[in-house]
Amino acid sequence: MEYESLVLGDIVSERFYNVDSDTVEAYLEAIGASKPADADNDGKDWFAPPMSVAALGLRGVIQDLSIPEGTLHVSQDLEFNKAVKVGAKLFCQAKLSQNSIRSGKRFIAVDLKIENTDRATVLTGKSTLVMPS
Amino acid sequence: MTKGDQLAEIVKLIDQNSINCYARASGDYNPIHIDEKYAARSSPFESTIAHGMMIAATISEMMNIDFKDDWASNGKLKLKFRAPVLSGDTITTFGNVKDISERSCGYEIICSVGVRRHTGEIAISGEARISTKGS
Repeated sequence: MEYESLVLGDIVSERFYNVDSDTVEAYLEAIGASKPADADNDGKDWFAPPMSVAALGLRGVIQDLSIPEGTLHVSQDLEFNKAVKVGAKLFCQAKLSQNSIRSGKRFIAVDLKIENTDRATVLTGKSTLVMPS
Repeated sequence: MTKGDQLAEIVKLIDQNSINCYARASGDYNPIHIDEKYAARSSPFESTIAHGMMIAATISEMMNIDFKDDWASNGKLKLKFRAPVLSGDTITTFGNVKDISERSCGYEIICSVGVRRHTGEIAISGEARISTKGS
């Protein structure tokens, strides 16, 4: 990918995700946490950890921006607006908000917005990444 | 809760298995996280490192202990990833209530938060905010 050609405001990722039970359980296992004891077996009556929703938002950015090997995540802002039930469908969009070179390294920042099917924003955030020179 | 209160501490061992598991869950297969040979050869840290968001998740877990559902519905986080967490590290979260202010529908609580490596080095630091009906 030619990162120098990206312009602030460019939509760099747009994806739909299902926050299904398998996805959330894989996330919980990865962070060493467990499913709530009172979670319904059909996965409809419990909430996804907010950071699992943020991770979904970043998944599209990583893949659609073809983030190169050695890239580091240097800062993260997140705002959780609404708890997300397991089973929900989400739309994740990322817009470029920084694209600069400092000390020979490219700094890329994206603004994340995640909405549910009612178009209500459930999460916003900003991720800043430093790519290797 | 009152100003100066400490938040619940979470301690976790971050090993290569848990990092690989997070790579699968997040779709982030950057070799700096999962390829030990690549990391030894090409990474400035000479070891694989955990994903920043994997470590940041422990801060969210810590906030969830004290603020429960309020955290998932209106929490805010502002974090800087200051040092990598290497495979094999044990991490510990830290947090304290920095300020509490009354709002029309409850309180806004501001906490200093972060994660420390077992070496004492701060891996993540930042601030969490939450609105809640009771303090």
